[in-house]
Amino acid sequence: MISVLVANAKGGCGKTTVATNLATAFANAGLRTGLAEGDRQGSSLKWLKSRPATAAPIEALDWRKGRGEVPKKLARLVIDAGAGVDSERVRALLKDADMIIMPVLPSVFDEAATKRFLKRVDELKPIQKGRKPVMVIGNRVRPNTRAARELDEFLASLGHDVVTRLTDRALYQDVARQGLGIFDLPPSRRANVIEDWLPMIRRIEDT
Amino acid sequence: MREIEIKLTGRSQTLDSAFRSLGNALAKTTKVASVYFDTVDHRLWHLGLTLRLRARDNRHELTMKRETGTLARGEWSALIDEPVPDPGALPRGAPRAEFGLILPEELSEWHRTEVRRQKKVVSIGDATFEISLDRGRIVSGNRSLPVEELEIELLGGPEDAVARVARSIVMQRNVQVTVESKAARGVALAAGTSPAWRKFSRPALMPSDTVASAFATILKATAHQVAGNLAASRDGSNPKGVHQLRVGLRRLRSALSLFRDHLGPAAEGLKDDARTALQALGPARDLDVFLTEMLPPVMRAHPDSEPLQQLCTIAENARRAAYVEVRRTLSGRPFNRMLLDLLGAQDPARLLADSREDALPPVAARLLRKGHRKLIRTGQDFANLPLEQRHEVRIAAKKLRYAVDFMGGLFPGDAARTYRKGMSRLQDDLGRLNDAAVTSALADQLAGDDAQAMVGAAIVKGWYAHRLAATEPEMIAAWQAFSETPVFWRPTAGRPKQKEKRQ
Repeated sequence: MISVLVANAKGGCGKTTVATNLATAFANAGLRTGLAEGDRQGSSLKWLKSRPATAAPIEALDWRKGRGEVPKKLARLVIDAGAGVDSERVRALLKDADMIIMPVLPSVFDEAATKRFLKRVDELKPIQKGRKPVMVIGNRVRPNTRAARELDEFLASLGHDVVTRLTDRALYQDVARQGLGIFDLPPSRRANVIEDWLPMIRRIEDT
Repeated sequence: MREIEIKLTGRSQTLDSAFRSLGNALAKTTKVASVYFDTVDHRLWHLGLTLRLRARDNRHELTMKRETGTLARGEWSALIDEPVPDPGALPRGAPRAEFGLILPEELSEWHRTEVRRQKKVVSIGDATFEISLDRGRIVSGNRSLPVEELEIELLGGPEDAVARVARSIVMQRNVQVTVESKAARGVALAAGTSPAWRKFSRPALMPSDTVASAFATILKATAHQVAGNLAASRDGSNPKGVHQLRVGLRRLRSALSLFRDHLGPAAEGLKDDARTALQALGPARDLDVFLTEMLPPVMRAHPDSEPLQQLCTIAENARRAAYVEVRRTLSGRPFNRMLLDLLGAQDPARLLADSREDALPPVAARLLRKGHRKLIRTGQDFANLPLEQRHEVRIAAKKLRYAVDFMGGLFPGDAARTYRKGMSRLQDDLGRLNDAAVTSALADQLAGDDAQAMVGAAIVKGWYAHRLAATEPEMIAAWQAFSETPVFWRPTAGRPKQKEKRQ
């Protein structure tokens, strides 16, 4: 099993978008996939509830009150850590995860919080020793803007490269409303966004 | 039932008349076009998998196959509406644990096959077959390869029926047995590489194996190695092809010798055929070693030597001629008949005469002990042994090594690893001894009465005589170390006798 923890201390940076879409990528590949909800708001679970019965199945795991059981035969597990997680909780969740994906918004208001969180995550032993990678994902990026450049510079200054940048697109909202992710769509309908996801997916799969 | 099929190739007319001679049933003709997909870095191929898309009944058939290079292959298919190569659409059971998530966007066409297929179902004797005749081409960009294949697949009847029919064709017509898939040929074409060569993969024997099941597994592993190196041997651009093919044949002979006491008369023929092939392929191997390993260091030390250059030119011509002989041998009737015996025999253990159901571990321990004792006996007083006798030691070591490769896995633990390591060191040193001897003889033979080349040969011989003398102490030390290495097999399971000895 490959297990991915999607985490950032800051709310609203797109953890659920990343987690749910990743889950649809795995599920559509025919891999038995679980999505663990660690956010008190339960947005991932709500999304799963609205998921059509015809869509590729994703198993819901309710971890809002702490880590729960992991079904034995899962091939992929995506953990949505939820807002406001502290390093202790990340440390606990990291036991089940092979890597951390950290979505970051290109906003100066987020910089301080991101810096603090990343610093604490970097101090966790499996991360420090390089056993588990941290992948920073730029989210809701408008390409070739000053904000996008500043985000890159900011993250580079923290010693992390941006694995990929997810362009700000209405498509994510549109599919989420139907309980879907972009990987539930045929390739022709996700052509604009697929390049954004490939680097992250390859990094996860090649781990 | 397992899929049992044998594929023959040859000239178009020959295959056509063979096809027509097999039963009177009416043949149905279809056009089959398959497009093969992979990632830019050939991820599927490196996992031993292929993915192809084919039009079928107004829909599309997506098929993943496992390319094991043998006769039995894994296959998973799904009918889909759009011609999108999405591995996610494959049925349950596809080896997802191996390839994980690959998006259709990551896949692109590498090559395609366009084939006109004639197919018929015929009954011959007590068996029913599906016979297909494929003619067409494999295309990648602006390059292409011809496809001429006659495939015989068993639909019902005894498992060895396919080999029987194939054998009768091989005996009457100039056709060759092939195990190379269109996909494998297409990958080589697309990548612009020479056909792949294949190493031996150690058979996984279990203590629960019987003599019969173990022998079948071992024979199958040698068959893989032999069949898997045919294309590379014919091609000849990589010396590994002929080398690994010969190693496969030697392992086969070694397996037949090892189980000698249990074998029936049919095994003897197979062993002789393998020796004939080995001898026919020998010159190509010797010249490959001469030109790629032995001559280069001497030439580097004498960069402007005309005699060496002359010797090299003669050797290169000889190698070309040797490879003509390789191709002739591999296309010849005796070799293909042997290949059918080896590959087509779905139950190689039929070669066994008795003790089929004996438990393997005690037999294995006995065979290993026998090989070990023989080696120790042959190498007695190694430091003072004359050259010829050291060659005997080398051969005994090689035979034992194959036996250890076959059956060593039955006895896990550090002792086996240590033993194997010691053997490997000894074999390297003895191998150098042999290479030097072969090189010297070959240099003389190549030079003939060409005065300049004779000087070149003298330089080469002097070089290796000197090097051999320099490595003499090392070789003796390797023997000494090996002869003191504790053996790792135990007469019966559960009694770690050797361990006790070591304490």
